Order: sequence, then C-alpha cells, then structure tokens
Amino acid sequence: METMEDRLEHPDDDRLQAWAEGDLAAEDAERVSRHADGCPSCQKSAEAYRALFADLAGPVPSTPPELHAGVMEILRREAAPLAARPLPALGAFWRAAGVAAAASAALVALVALDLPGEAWAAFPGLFAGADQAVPWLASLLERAGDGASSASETIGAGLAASAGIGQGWTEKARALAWFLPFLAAAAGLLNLAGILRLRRSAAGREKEEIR
Amino acid sequence: MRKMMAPQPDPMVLSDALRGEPNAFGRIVLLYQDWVFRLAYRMVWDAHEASDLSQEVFLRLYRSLDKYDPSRPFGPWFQRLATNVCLNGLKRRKGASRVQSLDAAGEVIEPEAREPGGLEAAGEADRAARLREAVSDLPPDYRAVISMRYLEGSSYEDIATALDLPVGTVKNRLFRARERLKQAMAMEGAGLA
Repeated sequence: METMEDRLEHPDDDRLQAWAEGDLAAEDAERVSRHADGCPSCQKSAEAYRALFADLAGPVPSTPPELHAGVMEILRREAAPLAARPLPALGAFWRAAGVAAAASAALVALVALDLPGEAWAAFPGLFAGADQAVPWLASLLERAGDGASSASETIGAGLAASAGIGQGWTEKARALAWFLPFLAAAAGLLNLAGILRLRRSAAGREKEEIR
Repeated sequence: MRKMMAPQPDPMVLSDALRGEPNAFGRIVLLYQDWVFRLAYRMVWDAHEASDLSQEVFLRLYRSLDKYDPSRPFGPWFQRLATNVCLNGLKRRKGASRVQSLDAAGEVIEPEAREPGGLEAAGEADRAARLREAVSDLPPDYRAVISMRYLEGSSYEDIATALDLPVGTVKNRLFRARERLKQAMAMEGAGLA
C-alpha cells in the first residue's frame, strides 16, 4: 500500500542504484518504484544509473589474434622450466650485496692503513696487550702504522698543497677520513635493506597473486 | 545482467599442463584468452594495455602452476590469480599513463560496424569515450569491483571471494564507484552539450 512516507521520502542513493539494477528485494523495490513514479528527480537519477550500467556492460574489443602466439613465444624463449625458477631479483640481490660489501671493506682497509701509528693506541680495549700476546700482530701494527703514517703524510701534504691549504688541514682531512668506513658501512646496509625490501614486496605480490 | 564466467578446462588437458606439457598449456591459453582479455580490458580500458596484461596473466599462471592444488576447482583459483595480476598491473600503471584518445588508441569498437552511420553512432562513440575517461579516473580498487560486476555479472559474494574482501567493502566500493561514474558522466555530458 502506498504511504505518504513513500511518496515524500527520497530513497538514498544506495537503494536507488540497487533498484535501477534490479537488485532490491521485491518489497523494497515496490516501495522505491512507487516513490519514483511521482518523483522526476529520482526517475532521472535512476535512468542515469541504468544508462551507466548498460555502458559498463557494453561491448569489448575482440581479443588480439596474436595474443596466444605471443604468450607461447615468450614461454618458448624461456627455456628453463619457469615454475622452478628462483625469484627474478635474487641474482641482482647477491650481486648488489657483494658490491656493497666489497666497497665497504675496501674503504675500511684504505682508511685503516692511513691511520697514524699512534691512532692504534686509541683502541685500548681492543689492542692493549695484543703486542705481548701476539707478537706478529704487534709487528704488523707497527709496520702498518709507520708505513701508513708516512704515506698519509705524503698524500695529505700533496693534497693540501694542491688545494692550496695549510698543513693543518691535512690532519683535519685525515680525521674526516675516519668517518668514511662508517659512512660506507651505513651505505652498504641501506643498500642491502632496500634490496631486501624490494625482494620482499616482489615475493609478497607473487604470493598474493597465486593465493 | 550478461554473465561471462571463467570457462572450465578439460581435466585431461589441465593434467597435461600441470605436468609441463607446452601444448596442453597452449590449449589452456586458447580456452581462457577471451575471458582474460575481457577482464584486463575492463580494468584498463585500453586494448594494447589489456593485451600486455593478458600476457602477464598467462606467464604468471605458467610460473604458478606448481602451486595449484588439483583437488580444488581450477576456475576460481585462476580467476583469483588473473584478477590479482590485473589489479596489481593496474596499480603499477596508474598514474604512468592516462587513457589514450580513442583515435590514437585505434581500438574503438566502431559504432558503424554495429549500427551503420548516423548521429546516433557518433553519440555512442562519444559516450564510450567519456565513460572510459571516467573509469580511468577511478582508483584501481574501485575499477576492479566495477570490472567484475559488469564483465561477469558477479555477485557481491563472488567479488568478495575473488578479491579477499568483506562483502560490505565490496558493496561500498561498488556504490561509490557507480556514484562517481554517474556524476562524471553527467558533468561531462553537460559540458559537451
């Protein structure tokens, strides 16, 4: 039975969409229909939805005839059984990890060799007593310290001279060089973290797709 | 509403494909290519991109065959895989490319081919272009539900299962997507009139 409420109250847009699509329960559909009969605004809105639904379900272009051949050609090119392959980023991951580790190690070695002999004494916890306990280590440290000191002084002086700055800057440059291994290590770690994140998101996407 | 459900493969063909038989996999591709292309097209509304996306779906299927559990029906499993590949592809492409113009795309379903000549046909093409533009502005998640609803006439429950979403979320996305499309179509229609 038609009530005054049916005639006056507009159905909300959710119900109107469902009504236009024929997706409302019979009783509710009847109620909306009664309202729409006397409501040009709702009629117009429902018509717009019906036109939209018809367009959305409209024709789609034909499947390209080369689709099947294209897929099979790609599969033929990939000789190894694809299902058995590791994640594609795995090779790149190890290569990048290796490069990052090697770069960090090289920088650490370069800067360590460039330390003045007395700088080694700055690590009392690490090296105190080492010269007694391990004679060859003491000898190695001594030689490394001497060689590196003279080398760093020569290089530092050369750099300072070529840059037109005073000798005092050589020491500052050397002090700055202390940070290089830490920077290199941090960069390496960031690099690895980034690659791991990429791999995880690729793996996650793949898992999600084959769920 | 027109229904276009994913077809079911012949069990023997499926079994051969699972054993890595290329010809059997080729038959699976033949069986599903129309369905996959339509699904992809409804997501991206561009034939070239839909073709690329379809290839991606089949390659992913090939790579994932060993993860399929033969004790369960293949159709729903593949439907979910295809939908997820398309959705991910759409998210990757979103922002990278806007819908091409109909002329440039060269993929228009020529109205003349269906209804020869006349202003009605031209108006239809124009309306199709506006719809594509409006759909391309929808977020990928909205496009996915619209695509499934109007490509296959899927129920809310089917869409929810395929996209692993609560039914309420599907209804909400569908409602908002349709509302936005209707507004966009009305606005552009008014602008062109």
